[in-house]
Amino acid sequence: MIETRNVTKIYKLGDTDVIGAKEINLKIEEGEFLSIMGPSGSGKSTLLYLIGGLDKPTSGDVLIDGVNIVEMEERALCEVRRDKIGFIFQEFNLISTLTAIENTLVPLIPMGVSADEMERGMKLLESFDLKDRIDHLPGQLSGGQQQRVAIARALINEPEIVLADEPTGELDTKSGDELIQLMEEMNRREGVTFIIVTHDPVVSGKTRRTIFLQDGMIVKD
Amino acid sequence: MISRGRTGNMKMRHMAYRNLLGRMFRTILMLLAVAIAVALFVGLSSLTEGMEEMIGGATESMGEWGCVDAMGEGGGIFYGKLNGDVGKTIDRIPGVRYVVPRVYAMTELKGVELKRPVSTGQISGMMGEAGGIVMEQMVGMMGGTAGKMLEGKGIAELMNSVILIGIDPTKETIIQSYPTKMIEGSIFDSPIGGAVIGKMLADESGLGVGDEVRVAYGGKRRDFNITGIYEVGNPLEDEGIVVSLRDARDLKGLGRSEVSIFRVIPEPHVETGTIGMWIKAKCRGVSIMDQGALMKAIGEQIDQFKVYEYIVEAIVILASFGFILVMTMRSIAERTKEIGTLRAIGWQKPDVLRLITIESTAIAIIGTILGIIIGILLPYFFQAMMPIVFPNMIVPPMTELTKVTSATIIYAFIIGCTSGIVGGIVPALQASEMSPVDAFRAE
Repeated sequence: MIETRNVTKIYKLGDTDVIGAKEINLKIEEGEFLSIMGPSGSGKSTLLYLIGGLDKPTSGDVLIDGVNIVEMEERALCEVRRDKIGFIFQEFNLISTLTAIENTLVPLIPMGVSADEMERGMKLLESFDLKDRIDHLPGQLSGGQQQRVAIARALINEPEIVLADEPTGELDTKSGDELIQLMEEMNRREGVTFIIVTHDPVVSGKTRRTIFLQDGMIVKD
Repeated sequence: MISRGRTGNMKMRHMAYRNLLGRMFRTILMLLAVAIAVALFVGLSSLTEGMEEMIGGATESMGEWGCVDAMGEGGGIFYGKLNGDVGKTIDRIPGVRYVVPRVYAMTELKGVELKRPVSTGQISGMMGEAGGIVMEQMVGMMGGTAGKMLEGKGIAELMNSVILIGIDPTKETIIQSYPTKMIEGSIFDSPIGGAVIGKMLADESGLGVGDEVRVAYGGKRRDFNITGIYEVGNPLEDEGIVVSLRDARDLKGLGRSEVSIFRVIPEPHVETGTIGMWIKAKCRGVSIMDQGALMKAIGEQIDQFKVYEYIVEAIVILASFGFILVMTMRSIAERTKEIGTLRAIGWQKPDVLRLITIESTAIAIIGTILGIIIGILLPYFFQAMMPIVFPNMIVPPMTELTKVTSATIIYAFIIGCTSGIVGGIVPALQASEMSPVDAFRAE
């Protein structure tokens, strides 16, 4: 379970304070399929990064399975990100010099990749219709295929939570629909919690819960 | 496809290798930066080492303590002559340890074509017929030693010229000269008909131990049996032929006690300059060549050259280091999103540092090895290319002048690897410190 308690994030932009998140209190249960919506600059990505431990709040706590990640050491936080959370980015963020299977396995590389993990990566790509693309570099894949590789990378560690930052933003409608279907299937089949930042009502319409943000605050849940 | 390794390092190496290949242009630029710096270091160092060795060899061939050559005034070593009485007078001067007689002659080898770095064809082509006439005129004008040396000799004859040195092997042994420097065979036993030749001459002529060689001087010709090959490290002497005093006198037409020079070795701690002054005072018609002072002056020139060498090397290495630093920083700046992504998906700071360090280390090691190979081949390349690019230029024997020592290779390896690795680690440290959000924002 994810819980935020009075989370506030203030950025310094020159002499100006910019509020990214204000007094956010949120509970997300295990296995939820949830979207966060709001206009540009409303704090959607900020909230996602705070939940994912990529950024620290100015005040407040973020708890994952009851553990406050705000107080965690850098090393432990990295382990949480590696073992419990998967990230999907709008621009896919694949490593351009690595093939689809290598990109899928990137989170495991520092510890070394076992044969079982390799097998899992292959199966993930196969299940995402990328069997004949495993040795292709990102530049040789379509946007939809790249994002599916990114989802495989997010799932390789069998995380409890997947955080997706505008995952369909760079895709056409058909690829976007297929991607959301894929995430929904993973949520239903594996019980993975999906938190999807989007400003596309079609995407949010497919999630079971939607949170609306404005000026860093939750205005509707 | 990714290889099935068992350790984290193997996987990291694989990823680093893919990154280097995937960014080939940048990788080649960085390899070249390291390789050029190392090649220049090896090239310059080996040139200095070679020159030092040559001077060292020349100094050694003079004896342990430096020496003074006494010779007939006006004739130099080739055309001056001294009577044996001069030797006895010099021997009585306080501070003189040994007086060693030598006969020098500029002779010609018959029946052998010497393969020298500057060939006869090159000189003829360079000068042409008109050039030959001008040279003849110049020889006529020069007079003195140089004039006598060149008088009446054609270009082909000059190119086959060899310095003949007549020695007393017993006395040369005492001053640790020719007989102690044999690399093949031995010094001649008999005072008649035996000869040893320098290694350079052996290489150029193809002559070896057991061969006969015909030497001409003026109208005279003599055949010698080669009993050994020596190497003193001084190209002038290593390209010579050494025979007995008696044979040399006979060939040159000198009297029984006459010599070209007396090589005078002072007692330890006695300055060669002081001995030179004594000889001048005691012996009339004798000129002095203070070899000790000459070698000291050349040694000082080499030291000066070394200072310039160090400065150039330092500049080249710093420039290379700076280039690698800038290239790695640029590369990392372009990879900010990649590094941010790696950190976001759970890579620790040391993991990012390790990846970039492996990449830098690979570039540093490969670049250094390339640089060492290029540095060693550089003199051969110049020697082969110079006559093509500058057909009218006489090319120095660069491969003979340079000497690559194991110390040079070790230093090159340390310097190349250090600059490459440090140049990569500094930006890697900065990159690993970046938080994922900062990395995404920087993008």
